[in-house]
Amino acid sequence: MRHWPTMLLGLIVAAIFLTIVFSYQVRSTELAVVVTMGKVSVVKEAGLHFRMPPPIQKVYLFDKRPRCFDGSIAKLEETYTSDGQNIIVGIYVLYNIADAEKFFLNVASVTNAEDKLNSLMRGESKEVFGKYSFDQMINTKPEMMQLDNIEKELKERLKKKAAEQYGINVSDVGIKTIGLPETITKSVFDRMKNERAKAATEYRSQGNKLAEIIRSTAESERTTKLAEAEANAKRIRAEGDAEAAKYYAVFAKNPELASFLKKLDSMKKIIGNKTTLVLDTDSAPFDILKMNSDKLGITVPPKAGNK
Amino acid sequence: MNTSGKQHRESVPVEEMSYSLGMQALLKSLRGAFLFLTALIVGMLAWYVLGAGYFEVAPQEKVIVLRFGKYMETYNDGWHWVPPYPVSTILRIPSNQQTLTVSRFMPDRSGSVFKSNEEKAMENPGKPLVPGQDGHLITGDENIIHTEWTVLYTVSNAEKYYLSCLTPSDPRMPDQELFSLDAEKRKLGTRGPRTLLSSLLENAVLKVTASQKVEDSLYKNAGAYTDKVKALFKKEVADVDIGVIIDDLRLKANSPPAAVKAAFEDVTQAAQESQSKQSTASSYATEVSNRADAESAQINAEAQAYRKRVVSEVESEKVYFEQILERYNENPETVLVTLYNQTLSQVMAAVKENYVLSSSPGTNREVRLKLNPEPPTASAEKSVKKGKN
Repeated sequence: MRHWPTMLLGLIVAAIFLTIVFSYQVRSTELAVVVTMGKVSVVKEAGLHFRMPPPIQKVYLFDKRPRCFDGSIAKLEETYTSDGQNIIVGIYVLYNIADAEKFFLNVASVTNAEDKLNSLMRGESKEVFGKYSFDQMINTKPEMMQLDNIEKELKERLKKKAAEQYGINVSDVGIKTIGLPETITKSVFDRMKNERAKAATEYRSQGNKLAEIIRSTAESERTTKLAEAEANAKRIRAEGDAEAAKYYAVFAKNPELASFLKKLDSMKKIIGNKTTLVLDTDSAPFDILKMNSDKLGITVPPKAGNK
Repeated sequence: MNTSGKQHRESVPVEEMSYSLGMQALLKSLRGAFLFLTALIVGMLAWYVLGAGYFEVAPQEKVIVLRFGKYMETYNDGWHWVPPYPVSTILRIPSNQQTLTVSRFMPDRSGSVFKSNEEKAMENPGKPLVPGQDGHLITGDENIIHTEWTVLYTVSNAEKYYLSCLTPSDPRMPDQELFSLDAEKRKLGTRGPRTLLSSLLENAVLKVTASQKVEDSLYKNAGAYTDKVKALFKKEVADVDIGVIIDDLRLKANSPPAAVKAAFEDVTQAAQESQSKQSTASSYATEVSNRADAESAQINAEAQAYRKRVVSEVESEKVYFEQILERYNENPETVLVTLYNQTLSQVMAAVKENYVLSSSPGTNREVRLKLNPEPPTASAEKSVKKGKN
């Protein structure tokens, strides 16, 4: 059998060719819709499947993984809150194709589905946002915040409608934009400017006030400290005086002598070199000038004090 | 086929007779070409089956293998062989850290691409924001701000990532872009994991920003703001469960709109002024306090000195007095006169001008003295001082 290898090769090639024609692959991430002469069926299991070649059987594959879709990229939707504030909202939807047959029959393609989904999202978000007031979306108080509830309600509505109409499962809905229209941003800017100006003034006056408080506190502390120091000094001086007074007792032994010595001491202290003294000859020792020469003798000793 | 082969062989001798040698040569070369082609096909098949099924897992990626479309296994590293396409599909998933920048809340980026977003924000100050072009956020106290974020994430579970999130057909590629079907071909958006992550982040940023004051997002607590957004974002990413881990979230830029930027800067400046005023006051207070301390200390020292001086003076006087008293008691007159004259001479010697007038009783003389004479010159004063010393 000289031609066995050739024939084997031919068989392999033919087998591959036939496999390609009579089979299709479904990935783990896909759902397959098989149309057999107009009759629709769905294949969910991943792997290799048998098929008749077209036009007998047609196979359509749909990716069943979740897709993130936001209807707002091209067009942002202006809507009104319950208190009449117009806002611009944008939401995103996380969805996947759950019922491939319904999806295939009603929308057929992802682009078409998203177009439908977009109008659904627009309508629902208009309705849901219209039920809440602006301060339930934008508020510093957590108990007033309703954004989570808005999302939950949107999700419920969209999930129900999308599943019924298009075979789509909506697994998550989130708000990704809450904005203000152009005309309103301008007035918001004005308000922001005013608020900032107020805040700036507050800071400045607060700063001045605090600085003034710091200064005056320091001043008063200083006054207190000095007064305390003065009082303390007074006490110390008094102590010194009192201590000194103890020694005065000695002077009582001879008060006249003490007083005389004190006078002498005072004189030394008072009379300096700029002093001009006018004395008369009665005062010692100039009384010697009046003495007569004959009296010059040591017979009469000069008397101390007033002579 | 078998029978035709036999016929072929049997017919050869007959044909050898009838055909020319040229025909024979042609047949030979055709046979050779057939053999060559067979070898080529077998070779190519072998090369394809053995070669195309080999793959290497690069360090920054993981490889997912599908067999007939069905998920089989994830390979983390090394060389591997699987039956090649169409049996197996090899998908490479990035496993290194990815960076995603979300600029949706920044104003229009048109114009020069070299300018930073903050510079863009400064352009056209005073103009209102155009919806759809200029992204913005509303804070809880109804102010408008801009922010820009950077997400660092890693695919932690390649299988989950591929199966539970719509990835591009090559998962390493950026998200697929979608355009509208009409003639305009407007860009509708992108599809893929990065789009999903951006949407989740935008949601988290919007919610956190809407719940707090403008100062907290811009200046005072920007760190806490980022942490809050990060926590919410991480929770949302964990909820969608697409096998991605958020490594970090960074607040790349945050600023008020250009129209009100000056007003915001003024507040910052006012806050700084206030701070500097207070610190000036504080340093003044410290100075005053120190001065007061110094003055108190001086007062105290003076008092102490006074006390010492008074006591020691009295003490020395006491000693002196006691000594004099002793002498005085022995000889009162002499002591007094000596002391008196000593003192007087000392005093007189120091005095510059002395006038002694005779006091004869009965005489009536007039004495004129010029008091307060010209002050002595500097040299004179010096000499006086020297004299004193």
